[in-house]
Parts: sequence; C-alpha cells; structure tokens
Amino acid sequence: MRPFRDLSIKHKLTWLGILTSTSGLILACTAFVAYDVRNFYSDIVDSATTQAKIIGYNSAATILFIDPHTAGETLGALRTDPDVIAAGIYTRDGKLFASYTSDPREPSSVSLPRSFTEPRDGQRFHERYLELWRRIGFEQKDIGAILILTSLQTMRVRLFQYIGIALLALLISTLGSIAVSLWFQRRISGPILHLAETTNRVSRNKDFSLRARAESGDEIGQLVGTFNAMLARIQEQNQELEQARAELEQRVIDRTAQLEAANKELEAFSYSVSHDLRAPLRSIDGFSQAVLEDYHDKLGPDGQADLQRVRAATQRMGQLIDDMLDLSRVTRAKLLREPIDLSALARSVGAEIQKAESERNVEFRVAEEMVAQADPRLLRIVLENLLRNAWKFTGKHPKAKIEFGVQQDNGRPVYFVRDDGAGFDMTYANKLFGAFQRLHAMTDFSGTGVGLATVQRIISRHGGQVWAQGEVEKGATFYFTL
Amino acid sequence: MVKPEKRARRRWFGWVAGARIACAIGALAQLAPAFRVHAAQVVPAAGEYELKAAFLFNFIKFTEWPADESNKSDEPFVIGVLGKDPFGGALDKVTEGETIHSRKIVVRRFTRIDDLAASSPIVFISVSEERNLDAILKLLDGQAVLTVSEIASFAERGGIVELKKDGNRIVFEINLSAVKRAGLNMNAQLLKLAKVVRGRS
Repeated sequence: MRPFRDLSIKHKLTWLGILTSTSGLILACTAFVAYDVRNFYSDIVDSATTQAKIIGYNSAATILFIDPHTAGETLGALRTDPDVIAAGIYTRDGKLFASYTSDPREPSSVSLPRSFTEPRDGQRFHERYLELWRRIGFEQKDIGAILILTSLQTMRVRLFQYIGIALLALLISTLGSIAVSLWFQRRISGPILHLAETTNRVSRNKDFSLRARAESGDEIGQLVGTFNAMLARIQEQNQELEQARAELEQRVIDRTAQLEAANKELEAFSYSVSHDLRAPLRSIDGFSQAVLEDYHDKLGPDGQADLQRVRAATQRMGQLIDDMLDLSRVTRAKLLREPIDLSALARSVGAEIQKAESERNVEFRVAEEMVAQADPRLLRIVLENLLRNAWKFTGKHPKAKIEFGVQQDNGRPVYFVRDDGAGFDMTYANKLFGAFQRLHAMTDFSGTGVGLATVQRIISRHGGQVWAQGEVEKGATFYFTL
Repeated sequence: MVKPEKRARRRWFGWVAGARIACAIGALAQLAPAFRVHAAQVVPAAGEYELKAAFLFNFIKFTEWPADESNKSDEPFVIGVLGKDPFGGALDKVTEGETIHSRKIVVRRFTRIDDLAASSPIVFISVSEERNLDAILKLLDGQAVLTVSEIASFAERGGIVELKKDGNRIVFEINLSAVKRAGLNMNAQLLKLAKVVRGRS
C-alpha cells in the first residue's frame, strides 16, 4: 500500500473523517456495552436479592414454626420468574428446609446443595448461573438462609442482542460517516484540486491570464485570492517588460537610422572632398611640370630641385586622396559573394608584385586549393594590400619569405599572410588597422596608412575578423576569416 | 387452547391439595409437573415439649397486644402456666435471657384460677385444667390475654391457640373470633401457618 503522506488530499481527508468518527464510535460503543454488561450483572443481582429478601421475610414464621410445606409454597412464588433455576431455604444449622426447582424434567447440572452453611450474605457467578444467598433474620436473630440459583441465559441472549445492535449501529454510523466525510472532503479538496490544476495549466502554458475560482471564504479561498493576485502582478510585469522591450527596439531602429544617415553623409562628404581636392592638385602638378620644361634654363639647379619637391608632394597627396577614395568605395560598393580560388588569386597578385622589383630575392609560397565564398573584386584588394605590405616590410632584408596559407580553428578556416620582415611591436597592435595610422617612419617604409584600414573594412563587410601578430625584426602574420 | 400460565396455576392448586395430604402423613412433597417444591421432613431433634415451649415463645413475637399492655415497659413480661407444667423446665430454658420489646421474660406457674393475675399477657392452660376450662375462659374473656393449650377442641371451645400433634409434627389451630374478642392482633404470617377455626362466641 502507498504510504499515507503520498495520498492525494482528497483521500487523506476521507480517511481522516472515517477514522476519526469510526474510532470515536468504537470507543463510545465499547463504553456503552461495558457499562450495560455491568448493569446487566448488577440488575440480575438486584433482582435476585429482592426475591431472596421478600421470600426470606415471608418464610420467617415457617422456619420458626417448622412448617416446610408453607415454606415450599412461599418459594413457589418464584415460578413467576422463568430465570430462577432453583431456590432453597435452609435452617440455621444449614439443613435444607424447603426447595423449589423450575423444571424437574430438564436434566440440569445445577442443583441445590443438601446443606448450606455460608455465615454471611453473598453471591457467586458461575458460568451459566448466579448463586445468591441471603441470611434470614427475625427480630435481630439469624434463623436460616435462602439460596437462589438464577440462570444467566436470558441475560446472555439480551447481551448478545445488545452487542448485535451496537455493531449494527456502528456499521450504519460508519457508512454515514463515510458519506459525510466524502461530502466534506469535496468541499475542502475540490477548491484545492481546482487550484492545483490551474497552477499546472499556468506553468505548462505560461498563460498568466488564467484565474482560479474562489469558492469559499476560508484559508483556501484566501490562498486562491493570493494566487490570483500573484498572477495579476506577473501579467502586469510581463506587459511592462514587453512595452519596455518594444520601446527599446524602436529606439535601436531610430538610432541605427540616425547613424546610417550620419555615416552616409560623412562618406559623401569625404568622397566629394577627395574628388574635389584632386583637380587643383592636378593643376599644381601639371603647371609645375610645364614650368620645369618651359623655363628649364631660367630656373637654375636650385629652382628645378624645389619644383621637383613640389611635384613629389602633390603626387604623394594625390596618392593619399586615391587611397581615401578607394576606402570609401570599398565601404559603399555592393557585396557580391561567389566562389573564388584564393590560391590562384594570391599567385597572380604575387607575380605582379615580383615583376615590378624582379631583382629582389623573395620566396613566395602559396598553399594549394584554397577556395572561399567572397566578393572577388574586394578580396583582390585585401590580398594586394596584405601581400604588398609583406613585400614592403621585407624590403630591408636581403633574403625574404612570404607565405599565404590557411589553418583550421574550431572547424572554420583562418587565412594568414606571413612574412619574416620588419615586424612590429605588439604594444601598438591595436593601432594597425586605424586609417592613416603608421607604425614606421615614412623614411623607412613608404605608404599612406590606409591599406590595413581598407582590409579591415572589407573583412568586416564579409562578416569576418582580422588581427595580427608580430615581433620587431622577426616578421608579422596577418590573420583573417570570412 | 389453554394458556401455559393457566395450566400451571391449575396444577399448582392440584399440588397444594396433594401436598397437604402428603404433609399430613409425613411424607416428602410430591413432584409437580411444572416445577417441584421440596418440603424437607424436619425431624425435630428436640423433644416434643421443647418444641412446644419454643412455639409458645414464638407466638409472643407474632402477636400484638393492645396499647396498655405494651406500655408496661418497665415490668417483666410474664408467661403464665396454669396447672401442671408439662414443659419440665424447657420453657425456662427457651426464655432464658430473652426479652420482648426490652421486657424481661418471666415464667410464672399458677395452680388455681384465682391466682391467675391479669399481669400475664399469655397463659398456657395445662391439660390438668381441662375440667375448669369453661370457667377459666369465662374469667379471661374480654381480657387481652393470649390463651394457649393442648386441650382437645380448645380453640373451638373459645380458646385462642390450640397446639396439636400431626404425626411427629406440631401444628396449631387459631380461633380468630377469640383473637378479636381479646383485642389482640395476630401476624398474617402466623395465621397462614395455622388452621383457622370458628369457635363459640
């Protein structure tokens, strides 16, 4: 059987009611039966005592005048009580003086003693009969005794009937108490079960708009009320959260739009500035060249040198403007992803670079069969920048090695360009990808400081990352993912 | 159909008659069909006059005297024996140390009627006085005196209690009109045991 504590409240309440009332009834019935058994016994003693006293009193004269016949008649009065088995009157010296037997035809193990000498009143209960005797006195003198044997059968039958009735009453009351406790149980456990079911539904469906029904004003009703209030509070908070989230989203959209607008404005501005700056610059360069050619003799060597410097500065500025335009073009250009053979692309870029400075001793190594989904035009810009950088920063070494390859990191390909050139100090690694940021002096390595910024723009537009590792004079490695 | 109760009663009456006869011949009580009453044959261990002395003493206990007799509480209660005493000391023995209503019992013997003082509430008239019985009864007539005697037909002749022998049992007859005339009151239990006779008034 299941332990009591695991039973449903419904069954607990039913059992509680039944056990309480049944144990109460059993106690009460036991007490009543015990009390009545005592009463039955004392009744039968009382009745026999009364009979003994009356007959004893009425037999006094018969003993004194030695008239056993009349004594017998007096005893005969006992025939009105069918429970009396036998009775006898004894003289003072204990001799049987007169006797009465209810039914001589019925063989009975019970019979009167021939002599009886109990000195005082008394009684004894035997299994089937009561033996009761009283002394007979006359004028303060003891003149004899009377002995009555009363059957206990009638009393037993009555007692059994009584116990039967008590058991029947117990049975009926138990059935009644079951009915009452079932009814009560429904009143109490019904709302609890309803509450439990509602809580289950709330937690299963996350539906906080559900409400439990309060059917009573007792603690269960209060519990239901509190539960409903709790649900209402949760619902309210959920709404507040939802509202806050929606507001936040709206704010993000607004801000993003503002940022995009600002960004576009900025890009348009820088494009137009770069573009418009080129025209006067070309004039300066062109007219400087015209002056050099047309007034070559008049300028003298110093003037020519100065004009050459003007031209170099304008050309450098033109280069800067071109790079800036490239950068903004990269930002604005549409991204078109398609499969590209990175290995082939890197080799063609490498060959172009080597052709320009074929006298340098540089080992170019490109891994085979690198294929990626990316924009081929932009990826070419990335590889040009990275490989040209490597070429440039190995320029001071007589023998150099440049490597383009791929390695796997957590299942995604990480591409890298490695060289054994000038390298850089990791302290400034965060400045590498900023526009116009340069770690090396212009005199050591030429450049505008826009290349790596462009690389980062392109990689981030592809949703990838770019980072670098290096050490001064031990080379640098640039990693990127797509 | 006769009810069982009725049948029992009829048997009871039948038995009463039978028992009387049985008692008279000194036999054991008969068996009744519905129930049985056994009257033991009490063989008196004592002699006849010892029993009669006890009877005489017991008669006092079942009799009430008129108020003036009961009031003499400081005087002894006198049992008078008239004529030749048949008890031979048994009466003295029975009454020795006994009291009636706190009155000491004294046995006095008289030989002549004239000696019989009115102070004796009970008088035993000996068989020796049979000749003078009428005179004695006449003398005591109207007085609160319980007269007891063994003289034959004593009750019928106006005496109150007549002692008789029935086999080896002692029985007695009582003359109710004599009881009445003497102003005495006799206990019903005693009358139940006696044979009640109607004597001369």
